[in-house]
Amino acid sequence: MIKRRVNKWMLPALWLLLPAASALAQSGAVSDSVWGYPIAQAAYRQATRSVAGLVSYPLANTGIISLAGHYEEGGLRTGQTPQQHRDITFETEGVRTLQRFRVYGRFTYQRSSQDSLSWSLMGVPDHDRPFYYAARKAGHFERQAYQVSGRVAYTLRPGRLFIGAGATYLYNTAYRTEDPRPAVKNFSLVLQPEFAWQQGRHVTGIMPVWGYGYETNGITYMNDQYRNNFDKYPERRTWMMMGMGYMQPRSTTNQQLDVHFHMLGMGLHHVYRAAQWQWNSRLSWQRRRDSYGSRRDQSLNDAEWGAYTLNSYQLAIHAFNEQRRHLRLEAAHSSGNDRNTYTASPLVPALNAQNYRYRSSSLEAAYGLAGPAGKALRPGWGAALQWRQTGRRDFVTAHELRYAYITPSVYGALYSSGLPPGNRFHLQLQAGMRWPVSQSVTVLPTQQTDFSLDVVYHDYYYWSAKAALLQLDAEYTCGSMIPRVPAGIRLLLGYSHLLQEPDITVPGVREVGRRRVQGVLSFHLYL
Amino acid sequence: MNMQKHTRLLLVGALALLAACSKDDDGQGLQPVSVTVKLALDPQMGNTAIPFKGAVIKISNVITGQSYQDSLTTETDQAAFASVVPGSYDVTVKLRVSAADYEAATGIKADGSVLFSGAASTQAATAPQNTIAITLRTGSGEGNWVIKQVYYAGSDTKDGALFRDQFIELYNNSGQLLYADSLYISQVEGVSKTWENIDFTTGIFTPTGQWDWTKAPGMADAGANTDYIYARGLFRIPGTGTTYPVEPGKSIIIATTALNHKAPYQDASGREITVRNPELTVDLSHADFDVYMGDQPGINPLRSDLNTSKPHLAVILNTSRDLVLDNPGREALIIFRSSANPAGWASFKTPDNLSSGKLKLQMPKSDMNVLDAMEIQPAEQAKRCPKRLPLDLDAGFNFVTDGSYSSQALIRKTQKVEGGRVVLQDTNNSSVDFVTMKADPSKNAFADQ
Repeated sequence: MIKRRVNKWMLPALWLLLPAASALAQSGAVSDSVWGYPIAQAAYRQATRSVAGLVSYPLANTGIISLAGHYEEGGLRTGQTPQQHRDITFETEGVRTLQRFRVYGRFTYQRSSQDSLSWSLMGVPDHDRPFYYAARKAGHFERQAYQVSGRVAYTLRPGRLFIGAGATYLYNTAYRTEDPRPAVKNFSLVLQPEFAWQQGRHVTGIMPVWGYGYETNGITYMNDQYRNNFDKYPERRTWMMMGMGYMQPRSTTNQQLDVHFHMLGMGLHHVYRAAQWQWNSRLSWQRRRDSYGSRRDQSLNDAEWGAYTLNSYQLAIHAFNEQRRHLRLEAAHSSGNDRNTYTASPLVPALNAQNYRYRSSSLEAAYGLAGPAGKALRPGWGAALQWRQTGRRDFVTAHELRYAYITPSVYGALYSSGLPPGNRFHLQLQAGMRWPVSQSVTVLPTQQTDFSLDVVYHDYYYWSAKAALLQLDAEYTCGSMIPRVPAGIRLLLGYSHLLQEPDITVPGVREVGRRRVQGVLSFHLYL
Repeated sequence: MNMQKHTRLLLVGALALLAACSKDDDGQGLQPVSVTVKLALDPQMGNTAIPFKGAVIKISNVITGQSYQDSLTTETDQAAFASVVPGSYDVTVKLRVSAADYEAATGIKADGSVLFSGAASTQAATAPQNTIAITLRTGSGEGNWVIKQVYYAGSDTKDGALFRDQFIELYNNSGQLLYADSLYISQVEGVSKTWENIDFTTGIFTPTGQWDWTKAPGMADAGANTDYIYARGLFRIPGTGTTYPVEPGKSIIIATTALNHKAPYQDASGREITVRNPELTVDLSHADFDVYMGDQPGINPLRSDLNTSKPHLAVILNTSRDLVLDNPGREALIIFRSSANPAGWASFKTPDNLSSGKLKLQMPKSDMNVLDAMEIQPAEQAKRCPKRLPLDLDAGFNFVTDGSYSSQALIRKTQKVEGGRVVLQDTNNSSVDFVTMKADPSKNAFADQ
């Protein structure tokens, strides 16, 4: 079934990849400058998010193929983050214009592995939702993800009306090599039709959003001693989390968790082109409704355990002054509420009430500047300030975690082009800090479990700690390695360091590690 | 529109967004609740003032498995559990009353402490304050036969003996010589479906989830659900009345097949049966009795059911091909004496009237002197099924902690030791009377108090 679905979607995926492939075959005129400057990249990302943005994008054709390796390790992490992460990602994307059509396509294949990941038996990690399987035993995960996304814009009346649609398809598999062993499959499809109109310098698009997806998670054990899920082996027990503290042992050896979600939303996109500046603004709302349960042989006997509704609001304003200046203002808010309807038998009434609440808000402002174009060596600098506040509450076990922090950061950059001719180089050094603003944790003593210690308290201490963040981003593009196809290599190094160790007063809570490092090495072909 | 207007519009949008964000923080979910367990004596004991001090009260959440325990340290009749998860709770209470206190309350002399127990299943506790009433009863005393050990789980499917090595140990819990002759052992019939698989719309189940025997094919007795116990297996120890004496504090072992399951042997088809790990199974070659179905008309016995040299139980009814205890734990056993002739008892198919259904024996309670009973349930919460035994026979149930094929047995706790004789605890509540231990047919295995 799954295989058929993959095959079914491979054809559209290939079709969406066509722009990139076609661009490769066309004349030698390439647009690698899009990828060489972070400001230009940000403009590209904003443009491809909507039909309004796509038809307003000044470049007709551009594309990139990249192969990247990513490594991350360290103890400065939350309780449901792996100690070590590796992935290799193949990605290709681009924009192509064919008469009245403008097409954007992106294909990503990622193979990743994580080590020492506990309290998480999920396919696509999303620990802010209420229902998922978890085990205290840390283990090694292997995951594969295919993502195909694209957008087509068609000009109905030049300079007046545009229609189009976007689509994102995801297929993900995950498994673990220690008991308990989840075998997870995720599928999702999101469609975004859009109607856009132009009035003078303004292009406005209205975009309804519809999405559907599912996750199936079946747990197996190799060791028969563990499979019955008894307390004798507490680390190997599979728990069904039903919030952030309310949890129950997986009730049968063949119980499977099935998640189905439906998404609805609306987005308003606006592009304003002034003489030098281009403004891309987006106001969006999405409602995602997850239903959790277990499928049986007959749909009549399907078990419904609960539902979770997540409303997300986002406002983003980006202003670009060619490739020199970038102003970014973003605000986001998410609000999630569940309804727990789990029942073990007709004699055990369901709670039929809300148990879990999730709230998250963020504000971000950033400004970036690069020296004037035309020079062989251009300096650049930028600054950003992010504020984020998150609150999670589990009602029946009276667990609550709230934290807020700000992340100020600055960067300095150096862009070089034409040294030697056809070659390009950029180096950026960024320094920042995660500065906790407020945090609180509540765990009712009668309800304290291993999960409370390993995740709730640990995350409280993690978010209470100040951390310094350093990042080095270096890229070299060579125009002569492959004829008419610029090729580049990029190295991204990140380092986070704990500045002040939290004073852990609750016994049994794992210490927050002092550091975490990450590195990404990627090779690119610019089309 | 100029730049200023554009910016203004976006700011309005931002403000609207923030306003929307600030409004949705009002929802309140459930809160932890408090549960008060209130104790009372069974009214049948009369108006006696048994002191509840020392009672051990345990409540367990049916969904999460989380349990809370409290002991009464003052003269009160209730225990309060604050800040527990709302939901449904199983409650067990155990109270040991000293002989002096018992005599002071009842005027009856006891030759040792007296045990009381009570239990309740799936009690809802979702209101902020909840009270669960528990009635305490004494057991059937220490003067007769009790079921001491039940090894139903079997041993490992690859390295052990599967369920060929099951056995039941019966114990003379009295101070006098007893004879095992003509003692009946019955496997009680009941619904083996899990709760979620019971379709109440069919009308063949009572609200407790058990069979509604008034709907059984051919049933015309209005008291079908209350006046009888239904057996899917009934066996009788042979003897003339004085053939099998059992000293006080001694046991008899009834095996499925009385063999040393640790050692290789040939089954009925001549095939050699071996176990990879003898430690996982038991030696039943010293069992006192076993069940042999090979001489039963129309029965194709299991190949492991051999005609051993041990005395075989008389088979009144057996719906299995040997003495087979349900190894996931959907089982209830009773031992009783009866002067009636079981041949005169009626038989019925279960109310679901399956074509493959076998007849179950309708045993009139009035013909039975029940000596002991115990109920077993699967270790996994979700696999449990409706209770088979009425509360007056067994107020609770028990299970081996590691479930099927674990080599574990349920064994009755020790109440006291009198002059070297172990007196086993019998409060008519399996939840508090039994514990798990590795199966041991040596007759010398005893659990602590």
